Amino acid sequence: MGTLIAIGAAIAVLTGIGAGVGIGIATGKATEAIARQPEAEGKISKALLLGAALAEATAIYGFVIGLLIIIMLG
Amino acid sequence: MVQININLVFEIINLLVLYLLLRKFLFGPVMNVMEKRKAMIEGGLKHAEDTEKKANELKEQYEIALSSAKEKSGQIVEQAKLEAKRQADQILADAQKEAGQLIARGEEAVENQKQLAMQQMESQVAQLAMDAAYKIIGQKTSEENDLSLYDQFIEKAGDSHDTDSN
Amino acid sequence: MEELNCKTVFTIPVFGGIPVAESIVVTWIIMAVLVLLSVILVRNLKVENVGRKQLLLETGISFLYDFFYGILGEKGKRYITYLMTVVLYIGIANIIGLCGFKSPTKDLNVTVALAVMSIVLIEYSGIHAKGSKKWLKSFAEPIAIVAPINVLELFIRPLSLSMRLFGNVLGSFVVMELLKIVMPILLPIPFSIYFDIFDGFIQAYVFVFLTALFMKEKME
Repeated sequence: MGTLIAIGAAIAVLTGIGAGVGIGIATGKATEAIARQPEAEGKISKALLLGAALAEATAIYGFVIGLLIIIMLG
Repeated sequence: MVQININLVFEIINLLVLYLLLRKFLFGPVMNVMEKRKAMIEGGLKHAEDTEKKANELKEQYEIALSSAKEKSGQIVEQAKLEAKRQADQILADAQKEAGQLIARGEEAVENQKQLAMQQMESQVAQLAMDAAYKIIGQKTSEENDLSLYDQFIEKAGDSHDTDSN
Repeated sequence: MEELNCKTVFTIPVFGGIPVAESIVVTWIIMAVLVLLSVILVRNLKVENVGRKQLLLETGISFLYDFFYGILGEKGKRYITYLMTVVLYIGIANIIGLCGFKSPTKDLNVTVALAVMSIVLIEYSGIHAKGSKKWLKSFAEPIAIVAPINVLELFIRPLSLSMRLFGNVLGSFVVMELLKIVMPILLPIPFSIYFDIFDGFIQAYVFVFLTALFMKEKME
């Protein structure tokens, strides 16, 4: 039972992959945008931060669910 | 840890209290000061603007006054010049007239003198000639001879004198 | 495991004992520090001839003010003070772990309370700006079918806000604890700078930034 719970928690934490890829793409695009238009850096970094925060939320959900699995079931 | 309980309410109360406290002690005074400074700066700017406007108005007035004064002075100078010229002309004309008069008077005087001298000379010359004639032919000539001689002489001398004076 | 739990510091002996968690006590400490600091810093403020202290204070506050003003505009001016309070509170709560206290934001109660306040403020700003009729109508925009989703947003937004803050702080706390187990000295320092300070401020920024954005959206 304990092993299964650990595996479940680990799978939940896999959401981090999506968040990582998403934030990576967003940052890459933001860098390109800044390279193309350096004067718009303020706005771009603001939007990037917002997007990164939203994308990161998924990873956080995974983490919280993993934690819940361990605490509630374990 | 992952459970919701009464602490949620406590936390909300805490937040509200913190908000009120910070608004009273931190943001209120600081904002107040910043607002005051802003108002002061704006007042200063406005004052400066007003002053500049007033200065510009004054300058304009001065310029207008200056230009009118210049015009007036030009007029005055022009008038003075005209007047001076007129006076000068007058003086010149007067002087010329006077000079003309003087000259005329001088000529007249000279002419008079000449006339006088001529008359004197004529009478003297007659006397002289008569004397001379007496001396030359005094002893043996008669009164008639005398007179004829004198007349001859006068005729000759007058002619010669006339040609000389002319 | 017991490190993660938020201990009950004491119980109020009424109604069979109300437990007061550690996070609440730490919040009180933060409040005391903030109020004390502001009383000390705000003393004898001057309009002219400002000192270094006042300059620093004004620069910080006007930076925050301009940031929120840029998002909310003239209509949302009245909420700026609350948002500044929240960003100060979350910022200090996130880095107070460095001082040996447990971060209050590691407790779900705190983050949920913050998120509930945020959603109440968001909806209140919508009602205040548009009137209750228009506010109700705004749930059926752009078409009536999406109304359930818009209503659902009422719950998703605070959930997302609170979970993001909670998960980030707790996650960084867990990572730091694990690092301390691996190597108690020297190694945690750079990670501590990232997780505690950088991440703490970023999360505070993101929290108020999102709240302000939602408010702006509701007010239009």
